[in-house]
Amino acid sequence: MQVGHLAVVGTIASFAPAITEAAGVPRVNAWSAESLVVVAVTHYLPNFDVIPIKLGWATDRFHCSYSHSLLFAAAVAAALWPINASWAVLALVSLLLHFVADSGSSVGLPLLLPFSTKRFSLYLWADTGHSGWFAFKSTYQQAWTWVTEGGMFVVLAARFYQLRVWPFS
Amino acid sequence: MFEYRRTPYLGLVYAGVIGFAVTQLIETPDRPLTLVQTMIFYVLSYLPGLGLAMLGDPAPHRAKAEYLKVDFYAPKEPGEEAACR
Repeated sequence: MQVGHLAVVGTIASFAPAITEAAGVPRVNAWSAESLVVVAVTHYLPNFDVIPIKLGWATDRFHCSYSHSLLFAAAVAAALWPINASWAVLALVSLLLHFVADSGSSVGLPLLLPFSTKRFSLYLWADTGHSGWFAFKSTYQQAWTWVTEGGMFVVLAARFYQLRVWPFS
Repeated sequence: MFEYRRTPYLGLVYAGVIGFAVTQLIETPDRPLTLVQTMIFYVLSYLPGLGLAMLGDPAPHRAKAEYLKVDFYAPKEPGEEAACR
């Protein structure tokens, strides 16, 4: 998933009150600056593995490796817990939903790293690289990316309506 | 991107179905959607609608099959793997 991550971020942030209340941590308001920043940063965090690749510190195979594992999600949440429990909960949900959003990609998610190198994928679309125009263009030549990412934008619009946000205010 | 000329038009049909379903699902009697708000849902529904239409088009399937044959993460130069360690 590429552009669709934006819609996922917006949707998770819209559910911030429900998520934090369900977890029994201090409530975070929907689409507050706090919820948007925490969700956006942590949702995109797994894809920051492109930075060491671009800097030449890692090979392309580093993409979708440790940063896309359940252990990474748990570690980020555990690191945030002493700072702010609400952020930790939102981060965990954001990271797990990043994995769900990427589950259709053929690159596969090594969710059980470092205990297993098995990659999990629904093979809905072929992965064509971690960055660049070709990766972007070729992703949208495939059907399921439109279904899943487009569908997320419809869901986000529904949340705009439900929360009475412009243009549904 | 498409092999059949009908694919983008078929996407419009699916968008209509999705848009209708979504608006029926979320609209509450006390807050009826205005025409513009309804149009927003129908326009956005074209994105997944087009995807559903593309599922019946051979070109996207061919593209996926071609891309699946390529390892986009293979080292580009000999020794690159070792140099990055």
